[in-house]
Amino acid sequence: MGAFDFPTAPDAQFEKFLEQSAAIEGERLQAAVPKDYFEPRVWRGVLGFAVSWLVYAGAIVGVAYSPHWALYLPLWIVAGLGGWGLHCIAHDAGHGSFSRNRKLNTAIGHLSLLPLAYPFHAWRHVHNMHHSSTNHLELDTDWRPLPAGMYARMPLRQKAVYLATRTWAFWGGTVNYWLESAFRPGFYPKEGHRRDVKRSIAFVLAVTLPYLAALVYFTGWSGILLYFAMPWLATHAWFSATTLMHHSASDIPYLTAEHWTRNASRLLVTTDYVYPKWLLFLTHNISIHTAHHVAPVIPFYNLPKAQQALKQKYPGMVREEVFSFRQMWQIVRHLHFYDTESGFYSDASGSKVPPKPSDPKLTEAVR
Amino acid sequence: MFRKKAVKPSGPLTQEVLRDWLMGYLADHLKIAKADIDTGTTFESYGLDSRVAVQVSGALEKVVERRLSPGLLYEHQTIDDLSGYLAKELRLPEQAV
Repeated sequence: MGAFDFPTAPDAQFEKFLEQSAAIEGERLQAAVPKDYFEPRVWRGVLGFAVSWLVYAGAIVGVAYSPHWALYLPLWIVAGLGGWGLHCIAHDAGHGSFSRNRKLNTAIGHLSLLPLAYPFHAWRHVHNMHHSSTNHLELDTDWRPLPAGMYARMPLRQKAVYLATRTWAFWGGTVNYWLESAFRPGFYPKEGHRRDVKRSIAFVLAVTLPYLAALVYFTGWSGILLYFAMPWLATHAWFSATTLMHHSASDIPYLTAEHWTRNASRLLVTTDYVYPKWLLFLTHNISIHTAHHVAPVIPFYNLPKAQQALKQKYPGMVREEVFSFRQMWQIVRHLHFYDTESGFYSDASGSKVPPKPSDPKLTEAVR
Repeated sequence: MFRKKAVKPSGPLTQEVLRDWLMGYLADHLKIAKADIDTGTTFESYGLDSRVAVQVSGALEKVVERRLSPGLLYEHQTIDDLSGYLAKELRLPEQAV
């Protein structure tokens, strides 16, 4: 359902997107992925869970024994990588792909989101909203760009948060997401979800508050900053940068209800990133993201195979880029607002951003 | 102000129930009798600003138990129009059978 009527002047690029969208209408996209790939191997998930906890805790111990404060920042970034990896494990748990046992998934999900102090059911329900409305201009909960006209009507504080998190403070975008959704049961339309969220909040408080009290007791007030708050912020930085890059590309439009379709939202609007192997291992394949949107039930260790199957069945439709900081810079430098004429982006100065398709040859060359 | 918790209607949701709920919500906000609400008058004429529109939309989400577009009250500017649109989208009957 929707209330907007954009784009007002769609160009050939937008029409091409609609043609691709029409071409997959009515398809059962999941059928492109062999059923075996949907089967979880719990030990592999537990290995990922253990590795990420080790990275997170190891980096924090590193901060405690660091010979010099100059090492704090790189160690926090490593702790953030551990926390982000744990989020990716919770991600599987939330989609029921960690195991087929709902209680185990719930337990792993709650434990994995402790470094982010994110109540698991709150994260799970808001994440499901993102899946059910990916790149929907009105309903997506993640990095939905606003039309500049709507931004102009917003209160000053909201304007400041919006523009900062799409530019210099993009690394804090998910902090804002957390503030809006983590401890606010009222955010959720369904009564059952609000009940779930309250239970998860109670768990996070029951673990986090004594932990913080112990940190203060043993390490002083600075311990909260050194061993909890900074790793928490670093985890958010990984969370923000990754999700922003998956769901923002100059040639991928956000869509009004008129143009949004379930199949296009699953196959055509996400960018996969080619990471170095070690990073792929520590982030549990989160950058192989289109296959995940097509079938969220695929466990993370089967995503590379699933991606290949999708590419074979739908050639030229899985959007892929080589990860680079330059690419990240292009996003935060230019992709600020939804351009109501073209359906793509405009920047903070009001200039249209020309859509730039990804180059499959470059991606293949790096493999 | 307009921050008090809206009571969710009991019983099955119909277009008539939605319409009645919106009338009650607006009457509470304007501190007038529900009978004085004209369901064909625009929200803007009643002096509702964008902040209140967001609050109405948030409360309405809990009634229909799904996320709604933040632009909904701009597109459907009267109670009749809005309840009719939602009933169509959610395939609600006009009245309880």
